[in-house]
Amino acid sequence: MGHHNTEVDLNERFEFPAKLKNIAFGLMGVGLLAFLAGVFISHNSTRTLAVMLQNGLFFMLITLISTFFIAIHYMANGGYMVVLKRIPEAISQTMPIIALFVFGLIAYIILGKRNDIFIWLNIPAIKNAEARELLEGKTGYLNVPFFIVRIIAYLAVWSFGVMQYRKFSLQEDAASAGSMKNHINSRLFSGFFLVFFAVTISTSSWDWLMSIDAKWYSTMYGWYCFVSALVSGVSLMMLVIQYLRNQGYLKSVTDEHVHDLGKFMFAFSILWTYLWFSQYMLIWYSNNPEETVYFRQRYDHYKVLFYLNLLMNFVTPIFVLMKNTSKRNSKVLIFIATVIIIGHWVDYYQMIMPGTVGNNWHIGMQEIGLPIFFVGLIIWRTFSQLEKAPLIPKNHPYLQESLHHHV
Amino acid sequence: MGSKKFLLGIFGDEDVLLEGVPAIREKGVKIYDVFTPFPIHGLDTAMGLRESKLHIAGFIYGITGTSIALGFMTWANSVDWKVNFGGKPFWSWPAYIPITFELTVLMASAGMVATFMYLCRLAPGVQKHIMDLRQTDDKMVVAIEIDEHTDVNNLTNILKSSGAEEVNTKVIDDWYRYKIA
Repeated sequence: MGHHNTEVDLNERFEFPAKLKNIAFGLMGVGLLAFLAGVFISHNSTRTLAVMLQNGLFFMLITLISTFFIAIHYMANGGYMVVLKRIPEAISQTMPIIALFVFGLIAYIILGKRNDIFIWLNIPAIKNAEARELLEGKTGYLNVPFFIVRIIAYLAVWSFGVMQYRKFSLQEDAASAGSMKNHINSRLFSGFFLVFFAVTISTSSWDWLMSIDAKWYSTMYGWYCFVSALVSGVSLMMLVIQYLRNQGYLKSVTDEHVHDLGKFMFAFSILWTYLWFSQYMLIWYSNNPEETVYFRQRYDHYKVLFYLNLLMNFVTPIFVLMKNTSKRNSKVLIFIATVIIIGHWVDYYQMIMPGTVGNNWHIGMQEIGLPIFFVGLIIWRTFSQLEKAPLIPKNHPYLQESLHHHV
Repeated sequence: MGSKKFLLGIFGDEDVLLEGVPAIREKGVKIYDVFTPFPIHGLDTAMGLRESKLHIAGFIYGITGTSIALGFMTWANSVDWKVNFGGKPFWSWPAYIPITFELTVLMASAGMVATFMYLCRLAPGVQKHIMDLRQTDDKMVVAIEIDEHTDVNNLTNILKSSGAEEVNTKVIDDWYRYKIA
């Protein structure tokens, strides 16, 4: 079917419009100001640290998912995504920047012995003898030196992966057509990266999120946090692709490619619900006070978010995206992708807040300001990286397959 | 069931076929079916087939599975034979969800497979009409149903000019839609 793609321009480049650049800097400025104003008004360092942890982790993970997306396609020989590969590549370049922020933040929490965030940092201060004993039993894993080794390992290897895939991809552009060297290297690298990623995406969520409620544990937690980030990461890619297509770029990304990403959004929303429900039902079924405390707290004091979480991340995506045509409709996809990203931001909020700020939670200036700052940062970094290379990796061996992709 | 007569255009190349099929349809000819040895992307749009309704059937099967599972467990556990499990209410719906999910998936998938096989006449032992033996090897066959009023010469010319390598006539004496050996 060679006659279908005669008009595809393989050297198409994106130009970062000055207007969008101003919007990105504007969002960053407004967000930062709102955040700082909120910090000074509230005078509650626990709340500020918890908000920074939530937004740092959420936005780092959803940008990291782009690299996971590339890696899994290399590993599985997925050919259809070649024409849109530059988008996850560009999005993922934000991750090392946010990783520095997360590292600084968690180092501050750990070295400052902030047991209002991670209760296990100061076990002798716990009044309840039973809880003290329980946490002392976990010190083999939850201790400061090992924790610091782990966070350095996670962030360093992930950032290395992010930059390495970009490097291979740009080298492939510069190499002669038909050279398989960079493709084979990317594939080999995916093997190592995915094994490391599979283990560390679980353990990192135990470290940074589950250890907030250190007395409680759930075996579903790692997967749950991962899929939450996964579906929002795919939605983020969808938003960038829709923006570029509406601006007249990416002619080679057809409705068929968009449809496939839409299926991912639909399927991962169901996977998230599956994990949410599995975690909930096992705890509900056994009715063990040590475990039910997690949901009791969320159900009693975070009731709005508890239901909003299910409404935005399960009910809305499943009913809107079920129909074939809605996965091909730009407006519907932009709406659903936005709902999913905000929904999972809420999800991360309700994971972190009950164990830190407790029952007295507010959505104020700092809770709204910081995500606005990160959205600006992601827009600025993604599009300025997108500008640096052609929009289509023209020497990728699966390019022709991708150009002829048909559902 | 009587007999049916077909004019067969034999194509040797999928690219020629993909351009030939719309060309034939543009002349106002109704194509009965196209038989190919392997799936060809874009052929269904070229033939102007309407979108499959199989997914609507799948949705109905799925909803049926959901209703049966929820309905039966509700009836069994809260009406017919009440058993106290760990002090939980008789109608403990979260416990029903895994089974409901399984039955939904089972009914939707099994029902869609069965419907698909019925519509495509696919099952062990089901007899099918073979237009041309080469349709299972390396040739693509465009079948057009004809009768005594059809201008066969004109149709042959249309097929030839659209890229058919040869044009044959096929008469099937005992036409049936379903026949099991």
